[in-house]
Amino acid sequence: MLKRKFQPYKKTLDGGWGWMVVFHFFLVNVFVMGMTKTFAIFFVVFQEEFEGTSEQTGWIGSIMSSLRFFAGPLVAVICDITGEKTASSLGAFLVAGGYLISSWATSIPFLCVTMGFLPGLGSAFLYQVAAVVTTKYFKKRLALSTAIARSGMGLTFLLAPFTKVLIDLYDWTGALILLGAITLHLVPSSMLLRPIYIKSKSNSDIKDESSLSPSGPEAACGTETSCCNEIQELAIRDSIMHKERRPGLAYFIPTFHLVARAKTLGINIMDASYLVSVAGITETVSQIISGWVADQNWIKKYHYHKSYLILCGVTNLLAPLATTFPLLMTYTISFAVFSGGYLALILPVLVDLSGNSTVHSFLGLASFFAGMAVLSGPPLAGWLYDYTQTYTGSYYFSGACYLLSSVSLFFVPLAERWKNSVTTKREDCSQVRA
Amino acid sequence: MRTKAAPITSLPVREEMTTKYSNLTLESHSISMTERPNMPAEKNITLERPSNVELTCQFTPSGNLNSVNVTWKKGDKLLEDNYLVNATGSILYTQYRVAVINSKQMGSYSCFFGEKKQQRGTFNLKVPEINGKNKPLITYVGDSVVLICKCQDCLPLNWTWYTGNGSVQVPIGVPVNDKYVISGKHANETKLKITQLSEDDQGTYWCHAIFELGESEGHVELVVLSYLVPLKAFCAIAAEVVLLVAIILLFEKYTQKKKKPSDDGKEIEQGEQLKLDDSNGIENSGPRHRKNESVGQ
Repeated sequence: MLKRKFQPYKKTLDGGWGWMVVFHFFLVNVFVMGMTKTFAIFFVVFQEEFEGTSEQTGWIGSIMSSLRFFAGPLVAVICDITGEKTASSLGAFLVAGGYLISSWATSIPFLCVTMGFLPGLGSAFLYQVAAVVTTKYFKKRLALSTAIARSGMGLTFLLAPFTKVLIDLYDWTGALILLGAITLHLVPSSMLLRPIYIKSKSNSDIKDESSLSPSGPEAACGTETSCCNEIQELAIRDSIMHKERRPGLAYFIPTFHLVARAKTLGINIMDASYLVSVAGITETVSQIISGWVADQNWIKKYHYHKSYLILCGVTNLLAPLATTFPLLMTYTISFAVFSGGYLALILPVLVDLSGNSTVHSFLGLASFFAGMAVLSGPPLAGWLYDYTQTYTGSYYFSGACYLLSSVSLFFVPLAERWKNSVTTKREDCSQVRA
Repeated sequence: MRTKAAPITSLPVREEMTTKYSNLTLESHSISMTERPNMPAEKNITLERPSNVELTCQFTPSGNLNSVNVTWKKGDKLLEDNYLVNATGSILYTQYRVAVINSKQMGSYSCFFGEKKQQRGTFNLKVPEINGKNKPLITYVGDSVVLICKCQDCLPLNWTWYTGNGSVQVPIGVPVNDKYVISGKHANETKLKITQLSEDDQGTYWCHAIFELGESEGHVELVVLSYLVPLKAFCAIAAEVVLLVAIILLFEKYTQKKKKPSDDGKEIEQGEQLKLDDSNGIENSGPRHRKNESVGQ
C-alpha cells in the first residue's frame, strides 16, 4: 500500500471528484449487469458446445448472479484490510481473469468455477466497493448520484448484440478473451476511487475512551451503552435486511415472467420485446427522477421508499387484470416507474439508517439477504407457474412481497425513538465521565 | 384418353399404372384456383420414398365451364395421358396420377386452364431438404470440429461428404484416414469430424443425402482462424488499459506534488485512517452520536 498524505475534508464533497466515482460506479453497473445479460447468449453456446442440460448450464449463471450478493460480507472484510481501491481492482482482475480462463474451458463444471464463481466474486467486490465509496462522497445528492450510476444498467442492452458479433467473428473462445480484456478497463476506473476522509471530532474521543480503564460507574455506562448500541443496531439491521430481501425476490419475478405472460396472452414476440425495452427505459428515467426528488429532502427518504414499495405491490396485485396489450403496457410502465423509484433509493435509505462508518458491513449483510432472494426467486417463480399453470400466482406473490417489505419500514420511527433514548443515556454517561 | 372440355362425362381411371404399383403409398395433393388469383397457385410436395401421387387442380371459371381447355405439363413437356377432367356444379376438377419410382418422375407438374388467359397451378415434387448451417463455423488452428447435416423427418439411404473448391466438389473420406471421420447416430443426421485443423481446411463442405428418388444437399462453411487473430485484439485492448492506468498514476503524482502539508499536521498514513473511518462504530460513540443527527435528514 502506498503511503499517502491526505488532507482530510471538513464535510462531504457532494460533487467535485465525486462525479468520477459516480462514473466508475456507472461503468461497474454496465459491466456487472451486462455480464448477467450476456450470459443468456453464452448459455446457448455452452449448451451446444458441451452438450449439457439446461439445468446444468443454468447453474453457471445462477452462481454468478447469486455470488455477487452472497459475497457481500466478505467484501466488507477485505475492504477493511486492503482498502477500497485495491479491493475494487482485485474485483476487476477476478472478473477479467475468470473470463480469460473460461476460454480454455473443457466442461461445464469447469465453467461453473471460472465463469460463475470468479466473475461473481469479482462483481461483488466491484459493486459493493463502488456503492460504499459513492456514499462517502455524496450525502445531499446521494440518491441522485446513485440513480445516475444505476442508469448504467440501461446501457447493457448494447452489450448483447456486441457479444453476438464477437461470437460470430471469433467463436466463443475468442469472444470470452476479448470480453475479459474489455472488463479490464475497470482497473483504471477503480483507480479513480480516491480515498476520502471526513474530518471529525472522533479522533480525540476515541483516544480518550480507549485510555480509560474500565472501572466503576464509567465502566457500567460504557458496557451498557455499547450493549444497547448493538441491540439497536441489530433491530435496524433486521428491518433493513428483510426489506432488502423481499423486494429483491419480488423484483425478479415480474421481470422474468413478463415476456412469458405476454406470450400466453397471445401477444407476439416483437411486441413483447418492445414491452421489455419500454420497461428498461422507463425504469432508468424513473430512477434518476426519483433520486433527484429524494435529494431535495422534502420528506425523509424512507417515506418515498415506503410509498414506492406499496405502489409496486398494488401494481403487481392488479397485474392479473392486464389481459390485453395496452393494459399490459400500462402495467409495465407503472411497474417500471415504481420499481425505478425504489431501486434508486435502496442505497440512500440504507445509508440513512446505518450511519456512514458502518455502511460496508450493512451493505454486505443486505447483499447477503438479497443473494438469497436472487437464488430463490426464479426457481420459486417457476415452481409457482408449474403449480398454478398461470402467471397470475407469481404476480400476487410478488405484490404481497412488496407490501410486506414496506411494512418493516413502518417500524423505522420506532427504532429511531429507541436509538434517541439510548443516545440520551450516553450523553448522561459522558457527563458523568466529565 | 383425353377429354376436351366435356364437362359432365367422367372417364374411367386408368387402372394399369396403379395396380402395378399398388403396394406404394398414395399421396394426394390439390390446388384450388379462381379466375383472378392474387397468389401464385403453387404447392411444394416433399417425397422421400417411391409412391403414387395424385395431383388435383380445381378451378372456378367465371364463364361457361364447357369453353375451358385443360392441359397438363411436366416442366415444358406436354402430357398426353394419365389425367382426367370432371365437373361438379360450377367447379372444374382435373386430376393427374403418376407413380413416382425414381428421380425421373420428380420435377414440376403444372395444370393449365383455358387457352388465351391461362390459369396455372404448379406442383413441385422434391426430395427432402437438408439443413447444414447458415452461419459459418469459426474454429482455430489445431482444433477439431464436427460438421453436422440434418434432415427433419426423413431417412436417407446414404450420406456422402464433399469439399467444395469453387464449383468442383471433391469427395471426402474416400481414402479413409484419421483426419476425417464420418459418423451419425441416427439415420437422419450425419457428422463429419475433422481433426488437426489447418488454414487449408477452410472452405465450404457439402453433405449429400441419397434417396431412392434423387439426391439432396446441404452445405456448411468452415472458417479456420489462427490464434493470433483474437490475441492481437486482446493485446491491443490490454495495452490501452495499461496506458490508462499509467495516465491516472501520473495524474495522481502530479496532483500530489501540488498539495502542501496541512498546518495542524494531520498527515496520517492511509491504512491507519481507513481503520479509523471504516471501523465498526461500536467503539466510536462520538462520531456515531454526531452522525446520528445527520441520519435524521
